[in-house]
Amino acid sequence: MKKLLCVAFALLLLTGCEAYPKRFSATYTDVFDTVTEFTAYCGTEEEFEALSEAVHGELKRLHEIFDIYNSYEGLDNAKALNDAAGKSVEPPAELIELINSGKEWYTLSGGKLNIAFGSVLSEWHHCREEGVLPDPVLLKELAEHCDISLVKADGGNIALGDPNMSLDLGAMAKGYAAQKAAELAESLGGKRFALSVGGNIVTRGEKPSGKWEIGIQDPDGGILTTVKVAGEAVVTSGDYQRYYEVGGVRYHHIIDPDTLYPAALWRSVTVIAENSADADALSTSLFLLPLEEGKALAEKFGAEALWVSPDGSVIRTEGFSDYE
Amino acid sequence: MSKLFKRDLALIVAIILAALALWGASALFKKEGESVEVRLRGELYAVLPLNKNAELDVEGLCTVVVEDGETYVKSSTCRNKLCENHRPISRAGETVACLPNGVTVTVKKEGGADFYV
Amino acid sequence: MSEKTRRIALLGLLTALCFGLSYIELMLPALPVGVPGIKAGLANICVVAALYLLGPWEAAAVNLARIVLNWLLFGSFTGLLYSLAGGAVSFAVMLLLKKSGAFSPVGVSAAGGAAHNVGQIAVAALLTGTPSIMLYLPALLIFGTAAGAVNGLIFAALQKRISPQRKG
Repeated sequence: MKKLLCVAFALLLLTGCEAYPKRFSATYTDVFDTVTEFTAYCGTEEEFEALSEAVHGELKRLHEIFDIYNSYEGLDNAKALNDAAGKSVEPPAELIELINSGKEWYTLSGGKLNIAFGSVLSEWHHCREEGVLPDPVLLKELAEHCDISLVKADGGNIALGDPNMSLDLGAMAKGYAAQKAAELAESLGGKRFALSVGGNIVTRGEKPSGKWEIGIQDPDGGILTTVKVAGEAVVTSGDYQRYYEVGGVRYHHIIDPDTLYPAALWRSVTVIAENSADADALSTSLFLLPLEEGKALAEKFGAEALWVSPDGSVIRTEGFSDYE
Repeated sequence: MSKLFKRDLALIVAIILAALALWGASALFKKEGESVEVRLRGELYAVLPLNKNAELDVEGLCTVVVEDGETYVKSSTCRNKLCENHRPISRAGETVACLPNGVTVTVKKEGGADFYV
Repeated sequence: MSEKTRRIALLGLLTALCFGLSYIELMLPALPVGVPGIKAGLANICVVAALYLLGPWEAAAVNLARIVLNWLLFGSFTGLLYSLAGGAVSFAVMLLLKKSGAFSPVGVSAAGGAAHNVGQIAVAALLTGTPSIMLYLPALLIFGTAAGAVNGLIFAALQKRISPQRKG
């Protein structure tokens, strides 16, 4: 009896140590012009490397498809579409999917989220690099070429009806890519991992010590609160993430299509949703929408949100505190 | 019985005092646990304590400086210089990145959250 | 009833009771304190009882049966490893303290509760490669001691009631 117990004990311990997942982490700096972090609990390092390589590869592939600055041999990506000046191209299925989703979001957000806003956004981008302010007259002219109804999707073909129009998928691409990469990792057997593509966070499963903890930054510095998730996606849009200063005034990267200037309704909006692509589009939309409209939109997706207003006060949807 | 009971009580009090002492020690340890993690193309390149001034040359690409509890990129070979212009960081989760060189500098805190957004 | 039969029956009874208590504890709502691994450990009453009424080997058997049965029926494999580590450390501490003769079942059980949590969190820190979860140790120590002391008091009350039967 004694011997039997000892043997059973030893066997359990031996098999256990091998099967027990350890924490691994990888950082990529070459996708979506941001820092990406992939953390997973895996049994062995080889297992993690395989997952990490797949996630990195998938993000790279999607980065090239949605890239509006670089061309790639044999790929009709977003830049190719922008450069085609009204002619039809045959892009990969993911680009068509994201463009169709972008057209839906234009309606959902009451015109606030517009992927056809590239002409105005690239002027802001250019000015940010030069450290100057854009010319308001030029901005108005550029805004004439942002009519999303002119983006014609017909089966596998896409054409921009206005030759001066260009797409900018920045408000949606990272969340979409994070979702796709997470789905791939899941299909390869990843059960407990978290992926942050420049702050678009997707989680699956839990850590051995509990749920994934995500600190939400206070726009003025420090940590506002921490949310705990297991399976959900978390995204924050904030005026503190990307900005530049001219004459002591801060200009951040989320432009309101109606004013053509950085939105001033909120300092930051955090969204928790099932799907990372939805969460990304939601956080940008909510950042540009008044509270009541934002709340209604979040509810449509079963998402929870937290708003930080310019006076520093914090507003939450009813279910948000369940995650804190 | 009452003699045993007194010893029981002494034992319980001793364990609780030990726990409180550990708690105090861990609070101190937590403050010192802030560190600066420097990664080059995803690989961990160096970990520096945030409370000790230092200057680190990352393969001739960037110079990372830790000064008075803050860290920043002092110089970089990259073209856009966004990293050099980034303000110094000091809070857990904050990152300065020099993407053209694949260098990231992140403040980490022992026992902090997994991600910050 | 021969002494041997009585001991075997008591061992079976304690194991069954232990299992029943584990099940009851499983149905209790989790304490909303945000520290993993905090629980009352009611089933440990049976281990203490076996230690005092039967002996070390029988107590070890009840302990191991509790851990393995719990794992097979409601647990995860990771949970099993934590329980094994906690159970082993707790058992060793209780055995030593009992042998010293300096403490009553209340003190022995309290120290056992604390030791269980130490073993559990140490293995968790080792296996997850996350030493920072040791920061939970102080809270776990205090709660484990309190829960263990309460379990010890319950056993002491039980012992008073069942000891006359032993003689008869």
